[in-house]
Amino acid sequence: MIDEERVSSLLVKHEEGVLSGAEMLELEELLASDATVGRLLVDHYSLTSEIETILARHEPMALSLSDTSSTTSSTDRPRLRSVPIAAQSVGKPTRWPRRGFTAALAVAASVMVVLGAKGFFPHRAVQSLSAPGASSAYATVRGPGVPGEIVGTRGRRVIVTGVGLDEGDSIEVGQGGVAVLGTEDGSRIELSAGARFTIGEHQVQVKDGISTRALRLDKGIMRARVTRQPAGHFLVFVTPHARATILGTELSLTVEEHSTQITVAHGQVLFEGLDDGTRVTVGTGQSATTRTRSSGSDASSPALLKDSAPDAMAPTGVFWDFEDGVLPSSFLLGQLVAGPARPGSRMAVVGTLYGWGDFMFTIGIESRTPMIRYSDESRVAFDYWLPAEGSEIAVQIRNRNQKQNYNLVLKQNVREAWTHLDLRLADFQPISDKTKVMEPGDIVDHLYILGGRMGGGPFFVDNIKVWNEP
Amino acid sequence: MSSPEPVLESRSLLFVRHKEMLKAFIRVLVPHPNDAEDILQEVGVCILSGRDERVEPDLFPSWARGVARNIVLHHRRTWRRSQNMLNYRFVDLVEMAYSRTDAEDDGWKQRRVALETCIERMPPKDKTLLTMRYASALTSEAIAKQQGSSPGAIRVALLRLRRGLLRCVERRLMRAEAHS
Repeated sequence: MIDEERVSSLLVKHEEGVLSGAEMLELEELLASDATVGRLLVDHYSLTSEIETILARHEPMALSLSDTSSTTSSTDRPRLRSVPIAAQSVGKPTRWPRRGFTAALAVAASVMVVLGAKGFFPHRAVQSLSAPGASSAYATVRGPGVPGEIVGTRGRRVIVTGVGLDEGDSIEVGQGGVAVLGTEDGSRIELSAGARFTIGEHQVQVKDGISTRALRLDKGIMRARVTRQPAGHFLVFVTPHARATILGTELSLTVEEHSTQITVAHGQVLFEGLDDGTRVTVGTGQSATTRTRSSGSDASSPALLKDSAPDAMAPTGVFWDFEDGVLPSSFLLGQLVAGPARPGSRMAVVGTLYGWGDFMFTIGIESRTPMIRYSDESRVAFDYWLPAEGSEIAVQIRNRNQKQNYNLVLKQNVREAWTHLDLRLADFQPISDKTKVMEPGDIVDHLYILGGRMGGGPFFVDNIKVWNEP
Repeated sequence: MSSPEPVLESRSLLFVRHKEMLKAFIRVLVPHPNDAEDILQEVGVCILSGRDERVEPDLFPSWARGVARNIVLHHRRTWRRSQNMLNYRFVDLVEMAYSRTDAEDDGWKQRRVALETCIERMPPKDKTLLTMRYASALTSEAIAKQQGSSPGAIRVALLRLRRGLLRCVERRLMRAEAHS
C-alpha cells in the first residue's frame, strides 16, 4: 500500500526542482515498485501543466484593450507569461524570443502588486483606491490619468485616479488612453480611446416591478468584468442599439454607427436588440451583433445575429463569420486575416500552410462538443477564395460515432473570386472503412477545409456554417 | 486525384492533439515552466520539420515523448540546479508511467473548462498563492519569504489547493452531467 500523502509531497517538491538526492531516490523507488505512483505522477503533472496554462492566460485586462476599432477576446490575444520581478533574477536566457515577453516584464510589477494584495479584481479594491470624498460615488477612476474629460453635475473634470462618477456623469476618453473604472460593487469597466460612457442616465425596467440604473455606452469599446450580482439585482448596459442585462460576467461591447456587438468571455448575458425587441442569451465564448434596419443590411436577415461558438451551441449547428475579429479556440489550423476584399465582410480565415495530398492550405476545426448530430438534412456551407493555382477543394468531417472521417473532393471550382459552396453531408464518402455509412444522430465534431497548391497563393474561407436544414 | 488520407493520422496534427500531454511530460523532466515551454517548441519544430509523414496514431505519443526525452537530455547540462533530478533511470520510469496511460482518454480535455471556472472562483488569497507558484514560478521557499511563512507550510497549502481544485472540477462535471 503506497502512502499517497508522501508521494504527493515528493511530487510538489519535485515540480519545484528542490528534491534532495535521497528524496529523488525515494521517488524513483516508489515509481519502480508501484504503477499507482506512476499514475499519481501523471495526474499531478497534468494538473500542474493545466494550471500553468490557465494562469498564463490571465494577464491584466488593460493590456487587451487598445485604441483601435476592433476588440479581442482572451482566446486570441498573444499569450503573456506572467514573469515576476522576483523570478527575473534567477531567470535564464531563452532560446526563442516569446511574443509579449517584454510586455510581460513591463507589467510584471503591477501584476504582482495586485496579486500580492488581493488577487485578480478584488472586491474591495475600489474602495481602497478611491480618493477622499469619493466613497459615495457609483464608479471611481482607477489607474493613471488618461486624456479626455468627465462631464456632469459637477462640471467638467479631467480623468485622474480617484475621481468619482455619479448618476448623470459622462466620461469621454481621449485618443491614446484607456480609462479603467471600478464600480461600488467591485465590477471593473475599461473604456477604449474614443468611448463615451454615461452612468445612470436611464432607469430601465428589467423585470416586472424591478428597475435599475443603466450604464450607457454611446460609442467606442467597453470591456467589463462584472461582480456576480446579488439575487434580484441586475447590471444593465445600454447602447443606442441594444441592451445587455448582466448577472455577473466578463464581456465586451463594441458600438459602431449602426450596430452593437457583444462578446462574452465568461458568464451569460441577456442581449436585446432595441430596434425590434429580439432577445438572445449570449453565453461563454459567444458573441452577438445587433444592427439597425437602416444600416443597409439584408432586410430578410434578423436584426440580431448570434455568432455561435460550437462549445456553447452544439448540437444545433455552428456558424462563424469572424467579423468580431476573434478566431475561436476550436480552430486548430487557420489564421484570421482581412482576406480579399468584398462588401459587407471585414475578416476571413486563411488556411495554414499544411500539406495534405495535393492540397497546401488547411483550415482545421476540432470542437470538443458536437457541432451537429448527423441527419439526411445535415449541410456544411462556406465562402471560399481559391488562388489561381489549383481549382480543387477538399472538405472533411469526423464522425465521432463511426470513428472515422468522411470527405468530399470538389474539382473545377471558381478561382480568384469569393464563391459560396453549400454541401450535403450525405454526399461525403467514408475514407477508411467504406462500409460504414453515417447514421442519423451520429456526432460530427471536426471539420477540415483544404485548398491551394504548392507554390501557389493562399486559400481563404469565410462564413463557415454546419447545420441541419429544418 | 486520389482520395486524401485521414488528416488525423498525420504527425503534425497528432502533435497538436497530444500537445498537452507532451507539455506535462516535459514538465516532469524540467523544473521551470519556461524551460518546458522551450522544449515543447523544440519538440514541435523537430516533429513538424521535414515530410509530414503519416504515423500510427497509437504509436505517436510514445514516439513524440522519445523526441522530447532526447531533447531534454541534450539540454540537461544547462539546468545544473536540477541535475540530480534528471537521470536516465528516472526518465525511463516516467516514460513507463506515461505509456501506461496512453490508451486512456485524456480526461483533462473535458476538465479544462471546469478547472478554469474553479480557479476563477477561488478566494483571492488562494488564487494569489496559486499564481505565485504556477504563473510566476516562484518556489515555495520564495513564496514563504514573501508571506512570512515556511516552505513546508506553503507546500501543504498548495497540496490543499490542488485537492480542492480537483474536488471542484469533479463537482462541476457531475453537475453538468446531471443537467445534460
